[in-house]
Amino acid sequence: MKQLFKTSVLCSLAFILFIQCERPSAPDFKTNQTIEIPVIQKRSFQFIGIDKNALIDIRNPDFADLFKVDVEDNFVTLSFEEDFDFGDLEDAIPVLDADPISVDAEVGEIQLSEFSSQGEDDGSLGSASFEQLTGFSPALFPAGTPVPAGGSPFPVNISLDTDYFISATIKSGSLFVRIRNQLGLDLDVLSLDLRSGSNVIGNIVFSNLEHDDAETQSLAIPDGTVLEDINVDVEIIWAAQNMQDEPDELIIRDVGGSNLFASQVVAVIGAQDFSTSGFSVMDDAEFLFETANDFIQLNSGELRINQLVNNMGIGIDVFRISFPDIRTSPYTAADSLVISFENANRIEANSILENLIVNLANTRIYAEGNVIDYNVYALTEDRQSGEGSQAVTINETDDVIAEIQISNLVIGRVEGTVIKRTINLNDEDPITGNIDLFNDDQANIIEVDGLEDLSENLEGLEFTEASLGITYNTNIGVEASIIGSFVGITATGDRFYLRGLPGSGFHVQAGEVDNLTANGVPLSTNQLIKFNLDTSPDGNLTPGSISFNKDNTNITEFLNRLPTEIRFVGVAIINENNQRGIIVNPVRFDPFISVDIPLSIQTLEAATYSDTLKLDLSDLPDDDDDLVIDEGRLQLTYTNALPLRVDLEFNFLDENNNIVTRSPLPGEQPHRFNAAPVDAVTRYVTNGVDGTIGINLNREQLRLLRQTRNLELNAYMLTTDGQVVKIRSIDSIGLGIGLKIKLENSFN
Amino acid sequence: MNRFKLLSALTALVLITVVSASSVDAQSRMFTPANHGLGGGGTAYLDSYHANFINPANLMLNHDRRPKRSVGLAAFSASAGGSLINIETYNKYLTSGLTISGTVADEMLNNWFGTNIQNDRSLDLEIGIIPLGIALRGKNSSYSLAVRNRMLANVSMSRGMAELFFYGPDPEIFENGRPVNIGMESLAFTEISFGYARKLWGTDNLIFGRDAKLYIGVAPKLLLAQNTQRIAMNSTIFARSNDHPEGGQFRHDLNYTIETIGELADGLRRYNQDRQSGNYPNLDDYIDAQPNDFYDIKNTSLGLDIGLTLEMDISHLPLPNRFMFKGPKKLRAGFSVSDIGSVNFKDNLGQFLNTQQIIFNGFDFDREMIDRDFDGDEGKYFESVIADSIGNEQYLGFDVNDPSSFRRGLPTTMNFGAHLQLGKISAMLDFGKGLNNRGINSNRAYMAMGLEYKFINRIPLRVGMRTGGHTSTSYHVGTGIELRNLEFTVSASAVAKSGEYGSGIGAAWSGLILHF
Repeated sequence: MKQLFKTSVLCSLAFILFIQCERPSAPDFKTNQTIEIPVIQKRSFQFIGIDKNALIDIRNPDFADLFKVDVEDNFVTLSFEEDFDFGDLEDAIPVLDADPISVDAEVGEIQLSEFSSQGEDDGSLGSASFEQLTGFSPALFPAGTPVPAGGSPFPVNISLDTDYFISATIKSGSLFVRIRNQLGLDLDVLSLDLRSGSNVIGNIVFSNLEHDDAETQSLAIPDGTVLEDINVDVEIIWAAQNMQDEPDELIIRDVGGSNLFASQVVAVIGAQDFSTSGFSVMDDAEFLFETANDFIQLNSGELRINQLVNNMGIGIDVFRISFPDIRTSPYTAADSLVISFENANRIEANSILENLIVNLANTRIYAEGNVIDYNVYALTEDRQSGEGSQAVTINETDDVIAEIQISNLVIGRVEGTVIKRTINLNDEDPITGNIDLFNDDQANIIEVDGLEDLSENLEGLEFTEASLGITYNTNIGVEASIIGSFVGITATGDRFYLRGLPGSGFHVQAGEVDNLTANGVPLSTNQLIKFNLDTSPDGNLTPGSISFNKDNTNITEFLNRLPTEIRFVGVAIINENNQRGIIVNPVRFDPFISVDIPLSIQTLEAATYSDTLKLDLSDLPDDDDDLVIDEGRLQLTYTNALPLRVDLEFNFLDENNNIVTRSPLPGEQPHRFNAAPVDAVTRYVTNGVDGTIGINLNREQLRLLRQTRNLELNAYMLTTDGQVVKIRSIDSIGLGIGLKIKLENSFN
Repeated sequence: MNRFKLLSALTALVLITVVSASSVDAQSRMFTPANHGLGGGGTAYLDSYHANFINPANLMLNHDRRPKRSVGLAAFSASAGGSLINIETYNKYLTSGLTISGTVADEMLNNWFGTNIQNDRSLDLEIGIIPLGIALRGKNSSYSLAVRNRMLANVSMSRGMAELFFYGPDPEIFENGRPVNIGMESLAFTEISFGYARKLWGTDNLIFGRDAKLYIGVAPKLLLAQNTQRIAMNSTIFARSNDHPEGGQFRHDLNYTIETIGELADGLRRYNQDRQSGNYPNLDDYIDAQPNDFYDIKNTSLGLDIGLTLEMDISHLPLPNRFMFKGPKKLRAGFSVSDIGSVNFKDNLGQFLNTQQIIFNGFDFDREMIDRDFDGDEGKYFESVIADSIGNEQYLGFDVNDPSSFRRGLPTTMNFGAHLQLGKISAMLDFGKGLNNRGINSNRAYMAMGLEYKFINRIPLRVGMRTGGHTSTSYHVGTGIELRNLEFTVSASAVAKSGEYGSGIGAAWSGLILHF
């Protein structure tokens, strides 16, 4: 029993000892950690540089052409140049038409020359023998034999072999007859009656025609005489003499016309030439050829011969139409346009040619007085030059007619007087004729890349030296001025107009233009601007420029708004004073709009930059989380070498953009970057200023912070002392970020 | 005289061995329910084949009381704890809703780690399994054979690491630098121990005792190395406030060594090659330990346990002899040096060293580089800096050594113990000191005392305490059944007040021991 008692005591002692041993309870505590670490190393960000660490990296395509840096003092100018299509000035080229030309070239009186194909000295169109003419037997009167004086017992008729001539109605001129005496005796008188068939046309007398002589005598043919079947009656008278030779015959060597013209012939005729001339009138509504030197040069165009009709029964070996006022290069008077049909292109008898086109490209028209002259020359074929030619019938009224049209003229250059007119630079409404600034199909629009963010978020900054220039190259050689409207539109949709200041030359007077509208409402004069273009003296591209600055326009106000879009509509007034000038097609007007905004700035009141960023902080611990952020401090350590004082304000917004919390809280000091001091003269920063900004969030703010979905950042900027300051590319801001948070973590 | 010379020589040998072992590393205590229940001593008490690991001279004990042979199967012991497991401080500060900051945190950390910022605290673990033990006892000499699988582990951290957890990298704490150290070591091996003991000297009268006998025992052992891992990071963290004129800075003077073997070593080598070739590998992809890394025998070496035990009869003294005191009365004293030697590893070893100063002044916000290398994604850039530049390049930018061997000293311990048996009651007292801090071994001296009562001579009831060593004072209990031919006992221990030097728990299971 005792042993059991002892054992029990020992066991109880062991048990008590053991249960006295420590046992850990459930954890229930909080840690309060402080995490203070540098987040971003302090780094200097140069205002403009060629790497991404610059505030503005000018290698960025958005910025590459946006900033200019002066090589001497690094002064920065916000500058951009945009191609700008002011519209189509092609309408400045006058449009010209010429009246159609009707050519009617009549052959006129027909000249008759050759009646026979035989030669004048050896031909024999007909003859009469010794016996016929003397009544003597030739056998009785050999050479040397005395022959008594006498005469033809009766006229001897000789038919003439006129193979070229059939008939003609003579209008004027003479007919010649050539005779050779081979009768063997000398003739005192030879009387020849020229007969047309049985009609005696006239008498020709040859006197003292010795043996073996030939002689030609002419006979004037009365107007209206109809010649046909030509023959002659011959009689002779001789004195006593000895026979000069053996008796033979009297020969008609030749018969033909001498200045003999007929109104109608049936003959194998030689070449006949004829000509005519005329003119065409050019439209003078848009262009005047006031001097002999005025011209239009054609890029293209055509001279169309709609129909060329040869109404004659004979072909035309040469047919030429010349235009002395239409010239080909090198455009001297000898370079007239000549349209010629000859050789292979000769015009056949009774033929019609249609749709013949002559290309007028590169020709010039010197149409002094707006008249184009032309000349026509024609030469018929020579029927007598070949063998076996057939006789043709030709009337003096037979002609060649042509219808000629100068058309489709595309002018390449004009030198002369372009009539004043106003052309629309934009497509107009087809019904009203108006051009609306806010009609995307009508207005010219410039999207200004790179300014969207600034424009959307920045307000109140005044650029003191801003200017807008239009530089251009043009070949227009006449006076031209543009009246138009520039409207700038900010990223937030605000609109503002560029206007000329009164007395500046850019100011538009009432009534100068009436078809420019904004959303259907006519633009007022203070929404318009007018400027003249420099002219090209020779039609070659010539540079010109226009500068809108604060002295002549409201450009400062315009550009301070940082438009991201500029719209333009306008009209051009061409040759307002009807001066002689030059216009070349294409009319070149290649403008660039260049905007220069030197970063010489001033803020009389704080300029604001606002932006809203996506910031989802829903991952932060919630109220049920073991982890609580007790305190947060974001510490910005800076060296500001920019001449701007910047106060930052952060608004943490929930999904409905209601403010969850803000920093700084009302009444707290602003988060301020102090401005760097500037030189009194140069207005450049002299040295950077160091400072620290602590952005503190208390536990309550941090508790709410997880509701944040967006962060609104407002920056209020003031130039140093509110004065004008200038920003250089080398100005910089150094910034380092540190974080300090206190975390309360519960373990239970 | 010769015996005294022999004794002197053996004593010198022990001391030389201890000194040489302490110059490298050392080892911890063997627990069985018999000694664990008595506070963990047993230098003059623990017999049979267990004596191989405590004091081989004890093989000679009880040869007149027990059968000649003993066989044990499946003994197990485990002990864990250490100065890091400070339940008292934990319960005081971390279980009552306190906010650990300011003076509260300071006070807590002072309690936990002490005021010296160099201090560190550890969690220690040792598991031992004896699948088989055999002992043959004789009058003049005894023999034994025991196989023991051991796994030792330590995890340590410095006060700075705790400060980093509770304060965060607060410049107010870390401005002048704080050591932030962590360590982890594990060692797994198997011992095959051969014990031999014999009576070295005897006399009929020694001071107040009679029939005094001095036993000497030695237990050389074959050490089969299986696995070891070591991570030792000794670093200092500096945190400079953002308000500092030079700006904020986080600086970590880093120095760590990783030693590992097998597939883990191969994986880290491959990782390093890939990292150096310019890739940014993910370390997780290279960590793929294979089971055989843990159980295959990597190498063998030798160890030794050695001891002396003096036993004398004190039954003639005027001591109580009734009731529980009735029975044999003996006094024993023992001295031993256990776990002499080291476990050596060879083949496929990897040592990875990293010494550098990591300075973080904030991200270098190089827009050019972010756009070029990260498609303008700042998040990717920040991740890359953290994961690649800081992670891969710096924290994991180690150099690789290919050592020919790893030598892990056994947890050597010097032990002095006494055992007083008065019938069914016996008391035990041990002193000792580890020569290193491996496993639960501690170079902090310990004292263990215990009281055993054998209820009806069959059921041992043991209580004990142990103070010093790797924990605060621990209390031990044990019981079981001990028959003449069969023995089965268990024990457990725990710390009652861990504020002093940490908590700990332990347990032992004798397995089945047969005596015949």
